[in-house]
Amino acid sequence: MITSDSILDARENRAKKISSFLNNNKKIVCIKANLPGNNKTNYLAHLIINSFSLRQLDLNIIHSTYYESHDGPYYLLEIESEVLEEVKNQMIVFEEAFSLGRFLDIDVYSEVGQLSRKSKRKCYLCNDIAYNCIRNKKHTVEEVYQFVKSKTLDYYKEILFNYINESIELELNLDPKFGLVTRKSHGSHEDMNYKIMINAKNVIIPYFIDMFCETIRSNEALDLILKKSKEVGLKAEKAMYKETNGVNAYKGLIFHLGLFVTAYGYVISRNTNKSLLEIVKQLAVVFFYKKADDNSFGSYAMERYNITGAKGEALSGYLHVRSALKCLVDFSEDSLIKTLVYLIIEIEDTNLLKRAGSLELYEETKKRFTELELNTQDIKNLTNYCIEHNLSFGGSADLLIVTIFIKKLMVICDKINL
Amino acid sequence: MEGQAGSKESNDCLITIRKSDETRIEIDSIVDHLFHDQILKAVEETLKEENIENVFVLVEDKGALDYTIRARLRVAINRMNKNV
Repeated sequence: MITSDSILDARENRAKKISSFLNNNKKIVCIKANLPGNNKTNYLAHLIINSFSLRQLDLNIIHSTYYESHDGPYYLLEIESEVLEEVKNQMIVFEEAFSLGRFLDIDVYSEVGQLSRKSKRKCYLCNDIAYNCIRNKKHTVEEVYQFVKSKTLDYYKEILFNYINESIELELNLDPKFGLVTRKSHGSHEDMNYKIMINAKNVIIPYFIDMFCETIRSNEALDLILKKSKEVGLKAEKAMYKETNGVNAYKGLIFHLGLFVTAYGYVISRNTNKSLLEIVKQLAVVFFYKKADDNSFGSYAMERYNITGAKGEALSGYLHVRSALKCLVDFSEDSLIKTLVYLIIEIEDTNLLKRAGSLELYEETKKRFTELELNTQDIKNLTNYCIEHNLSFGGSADLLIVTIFIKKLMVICDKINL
Repeated sequence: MEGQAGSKESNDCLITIRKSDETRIEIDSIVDHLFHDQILKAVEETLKEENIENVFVLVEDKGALDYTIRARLRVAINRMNKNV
């Protein structure tokens, strides 16, 4: 059980750990969440400590260890540095520049002890020096806690909104694109256009954020968390169909991104050493535990051709997304097209199979992509061919969006582990 | 003859206590100018509750609350008594 005394014990243990490192002439940076109240181990503490990547600190880290204690989760980093004062200043800048930096305590230790900041930190709620407010009990713990909570949730909501929005837009704006909808063309999709895709995008994004919020707040096991996300996902589908008058713009994406957003919320909000991709795979296994009894084309393709499509990709733990991340070196058009072509060749796309109508044309189309030279003219020619033959690659486009999203998330998250 | 408890992390304090000819309390706090008396009071009261006299107490305070100061001092006293 966590008590005030066990929090104090945990702090003492941490101090002992640090001083044993220092006795070996090591330079140490300690990072912990600065959360008011007696519960230092809850989801909020984890959301704060997992809100950034250690890479963002721009330190020369020799070794990093993550600990869970009754005083909350924390990192001890062994660093290499000539001038520790500079490291301390660099950490102060990070604390002040990063949106959740004020909820982090980043302490720098040398052999002679802790380097302290010259200016004392301000209270979260008023402009007074934090120590004064804490000692004078100027604000209630509940008041301060609610402030930290709302700032932390706002940070994540904004990050998720931006990352998902940018990922979908980067894919959508890519042109020409082998029969997929773009700003300039509806490609092979008679029933779709750019406007419909944009509207569908805007309608579904808030549901991903709902899934994330439900997941971080839940203490339930993975299967119950997934059940909740599934419910939210179905609502997203419904809202999308209503917006598009029955056109399937992003059903596949709702499935894939739903799994990723749920897994992301799961790994950063609790005590787990599982990576995001491990959890995604577990979620997929639970999702498909019961035999699909729907009449989707995916189920038909599975039965008739043993082409597993989105389901197979998810159950593999997104093996092709992992490889695609290596193609996606940046978000330039060249890199995006290269990654899309990689996905078209490698994945099983039931959207393509449906449009090709036969396994022969499906295979032949893929062959055209393996032979494709990535220059403007050849891309244009193949796009014209795809539109003439009414071919498209919805499954690959969905996974390109997922790949972009993960690439963005990797900037702030160390729990992806490819 | 000596006991120590706590840490020099922020919102904590490191307390060192040892037997002495008379009771003497030394406070080194980052908020000394504002809270010296409060910290002193917390230490004196705790010593009294534990029936401890003739000790030297050093409080190296990094903004700890009274609760923390009292708890750290009690542990330091126990450790001192075990070390006898």
